[in-house]
Amino acid sequence: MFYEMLHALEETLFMVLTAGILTLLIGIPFGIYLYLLSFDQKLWHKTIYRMLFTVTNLASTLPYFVLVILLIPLLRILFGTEASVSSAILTLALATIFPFSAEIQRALNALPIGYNDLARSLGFSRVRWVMKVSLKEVMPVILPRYAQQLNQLMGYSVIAGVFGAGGLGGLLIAKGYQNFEISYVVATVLLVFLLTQVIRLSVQYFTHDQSH
Amino acid sequence: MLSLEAVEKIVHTHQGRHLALKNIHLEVEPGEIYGILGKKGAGKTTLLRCVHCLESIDTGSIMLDNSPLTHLPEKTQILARRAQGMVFAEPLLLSSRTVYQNVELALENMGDKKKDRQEKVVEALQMTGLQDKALCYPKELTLGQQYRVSFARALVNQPNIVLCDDITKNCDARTTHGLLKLFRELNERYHFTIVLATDAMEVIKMVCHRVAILHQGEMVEHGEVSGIFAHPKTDIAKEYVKSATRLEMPNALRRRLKSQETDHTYPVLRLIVDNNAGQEPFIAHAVQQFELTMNILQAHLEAIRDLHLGIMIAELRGKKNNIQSAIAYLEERGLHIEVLGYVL
Repeated sequence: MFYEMLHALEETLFMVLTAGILTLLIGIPFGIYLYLLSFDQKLWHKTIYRMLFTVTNLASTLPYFVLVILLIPLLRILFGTEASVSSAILTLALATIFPFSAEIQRALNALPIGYNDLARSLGFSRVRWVMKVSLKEVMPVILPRYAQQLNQLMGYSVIAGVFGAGGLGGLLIAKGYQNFEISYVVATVLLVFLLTQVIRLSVQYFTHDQSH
Repeated sequence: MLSLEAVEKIVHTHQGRHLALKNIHLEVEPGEIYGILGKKGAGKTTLLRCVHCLESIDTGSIMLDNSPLTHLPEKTQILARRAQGMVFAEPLLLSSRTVYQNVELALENMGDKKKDRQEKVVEALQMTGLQDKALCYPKELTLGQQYRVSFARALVNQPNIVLCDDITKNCDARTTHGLLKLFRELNERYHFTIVLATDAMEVIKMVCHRVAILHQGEMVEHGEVSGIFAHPKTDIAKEYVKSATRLEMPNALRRRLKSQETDHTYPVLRLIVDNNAGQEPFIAHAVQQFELTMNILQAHLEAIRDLHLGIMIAELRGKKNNIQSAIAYLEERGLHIEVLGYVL
């Protein structure tokens, strides 16, 4: 049982962390892009913005379960099956990238409007200002949001187990649901709980360090 | 030198278009503190924003040291802004940066070496009296100190001119006082030219050499601050002067005051004596020479920058002709005299 648990934990961590890193790497640039695009006055850019904004909003509100089902055809083309760790990572990342980008855009928008004038006054272009100044400024807001997203990912990864992605979710389905072995249920639940607390506390520590 | 000529700006609002600035002519000499006085919505901020190339104007021209500031391509606009320091109405400090880093931000795009940058930042912090706050975060500062940082940020590039939006509207009296002292020091010791927007005559009175009064986008009056204080021409200017001095007549007197002169009445005068005219006892001379009695009803001394104005309200009793000659005598010697009314 111990080795089974360890293996499942390893799979879950791999899924959650990879999806988490993808969320950062894609979510932040995409959020900034949305923010910058929202200022653009060109008609063509406005249309793109409207489209992206709608997609982001829709994707952020879609339940993870529905998202996976919608993505099944795509996953079959890409990975041959929806029941694998890599397809789970893709669905997990897609589930958090959009809400996280929306959070970034919101945080940037919430900065005092006067900063825009200040940026112009000091000779910054909008892009440079966001990269050099605003991004650091919104970090105390963004980091707790990121922790939230990671915790969401933990939850989603358990659901991914239903679709055969393995990990703690898979174990819970196989042993807990189908065979009703109570020890597995207790152990997995405890592990999931522990992991979410570790994520929450580490980010909390990190944010505290950031906001002086 | 900053000069504005026939500047007009049209603003489009949901109620339609209106002129935010109407035919503004203005010249700011190097080394002076120029005040822009006006109520909320008078166009003070718009004027500063136009000078700082944050907004465009529709007609006219703005020149700084003989180079135009209007209708520039974006690249040149950035250069033009760097030659000016702008202090916004809010301190606008970045909470994730220390005081030092906040000031350094203004040098970010200048391509200076790190060592030069450090020198400039330290100097700017010294000018604003923040040398021991360099490593603090904005959160740890008082509002006055935050504005000082915002000042240091505007000064660090050694600008030709510093534009300062209405910063005192957020401050209490003590903070305002401290900031105004800083203004004078920057101007007197480091010879910065400062354009200062405000809605408080008190501020103008304490620091400015000259002032322009804006009302609904129009420049209604401008000139030396002491001149406007001594004899404001327009109602708006009079209102401002009244708000900043205790020139109000006592109520008991006002009730007795009549606007028409008859044989039995005596005039009530407002006399204004400035530094130069105050060196000899002209009033005493006049009273003796023309055999008058003077009943001083109210008097006080008004400090305008370094100039002191003595202002008094007095009743003159004596022969009609003598009174006339006395007024003429005093006016000849540089006193400003206004007949407020007549009493029995």
